[in-house]
Amino acid sequence: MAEMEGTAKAGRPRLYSYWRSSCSHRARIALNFKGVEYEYKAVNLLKGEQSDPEFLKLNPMKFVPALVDDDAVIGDSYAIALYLEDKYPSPPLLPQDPKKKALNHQIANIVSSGIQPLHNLTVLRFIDQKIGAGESVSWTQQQIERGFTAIENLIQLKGCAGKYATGDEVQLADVFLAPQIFAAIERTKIDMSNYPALARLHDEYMGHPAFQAALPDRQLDAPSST
Amino acid sequence: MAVGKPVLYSAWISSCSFRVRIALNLKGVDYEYRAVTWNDPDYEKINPIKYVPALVDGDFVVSDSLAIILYLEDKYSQHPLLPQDLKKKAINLQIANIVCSSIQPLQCYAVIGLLDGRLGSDESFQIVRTYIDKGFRAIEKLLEGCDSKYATGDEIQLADVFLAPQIHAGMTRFQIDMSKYPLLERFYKAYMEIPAFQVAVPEKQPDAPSPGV
Repeated sequence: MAEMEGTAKAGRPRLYSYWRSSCSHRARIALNFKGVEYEYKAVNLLKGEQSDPEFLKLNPMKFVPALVDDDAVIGDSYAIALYLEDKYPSPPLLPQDPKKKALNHQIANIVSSGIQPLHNLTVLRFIDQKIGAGESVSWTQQQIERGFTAIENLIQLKGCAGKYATGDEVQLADVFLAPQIFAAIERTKIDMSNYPALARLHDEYMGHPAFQAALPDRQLDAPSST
Repeated sequence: MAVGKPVLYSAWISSCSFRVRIALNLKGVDYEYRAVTWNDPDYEKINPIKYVPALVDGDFVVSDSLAIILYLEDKYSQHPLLPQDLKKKAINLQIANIVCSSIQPLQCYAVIGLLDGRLGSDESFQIVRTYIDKGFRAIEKLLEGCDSKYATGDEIQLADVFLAPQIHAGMTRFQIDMSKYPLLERFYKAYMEIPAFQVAVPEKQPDAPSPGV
């Protein structure tokens, strides 16, 4: 679980994260799930801290999350998840079976290439600026609905879901789905009645300790509730 | 036709399909090419998200280029695309993801904006160039000082499989000046000397338009 800044023990990985970033959320879930204690270093995206020279050295794409583990610096949530999978094999996020593994990658990629990048902060600012103020809201809804329809269809088609997306154990697909579904419900107010499998998965994730501890509101840089 | 040959659903111009074609060729996998046209209604049954590529291997269907390539990596041990070293593996995955999450999808969305009439063609073009530039500059920074033949060593690896199609698209479709990205420019010249890459280029696919048409 995350430790406060300044109390880091030697050898502990450091995660650069923003409380509300769904990509950071994925990395937090993976770390928690594998029981890896890490130092949380907040990067305030709204204040532009991702453009600070120190952070740029870590990730020239100016994205969170970034993971620093000894001399490894990894600035992508997918690469972070698979790095953790190799370094901390237990509990595993990927099944041995190549077909089930591929399905996990497919679902993860629908989220990480097909949904989230199309409604990240940079894109939304651009849309509000170029197309019209507030247009980003309906744009985000469209991207999420398109992607959720595809994932819902895929899960039904493959008949793969158990307690979690691809079976009865948490796997890579869940690490990517949980933050996307959470953001869709909490921020975009997507009507989940069209996506019963995803809605049910959301309930499961909200009941799992590793996922709970990764939620945006629980992070050190989340605004305090007033 | 050999029994058990995997089938690749692909479109000639799709850079995601191009990645998988390279990987199949590098691993020496003989496959059947099936062309998918824009908005093909039957294709939705193969891939619910309707993007190419998709790979059908016996009764198993997988889509998404990274998922397909990692599946091929598991199934075919020849010409491994990911190194054992965790740091090197991570940089390969990071570069692949910069391409497949932070450049290529934005390329598509700008094009869609153009088709929906919400963006003018000039604007659409400039958006794509901005995203390509951002991604390429970041990759140049990540690989600063690289003196190996390819992105992460002297063997072709995952990063190269993702970079080649993106550079090709940048040059042929978006007028990217590769001299601004010296490492990528050098890698690309090296890629284009390799048969596995040459044979995979869009212009050589069965569904590519005839030259001069």
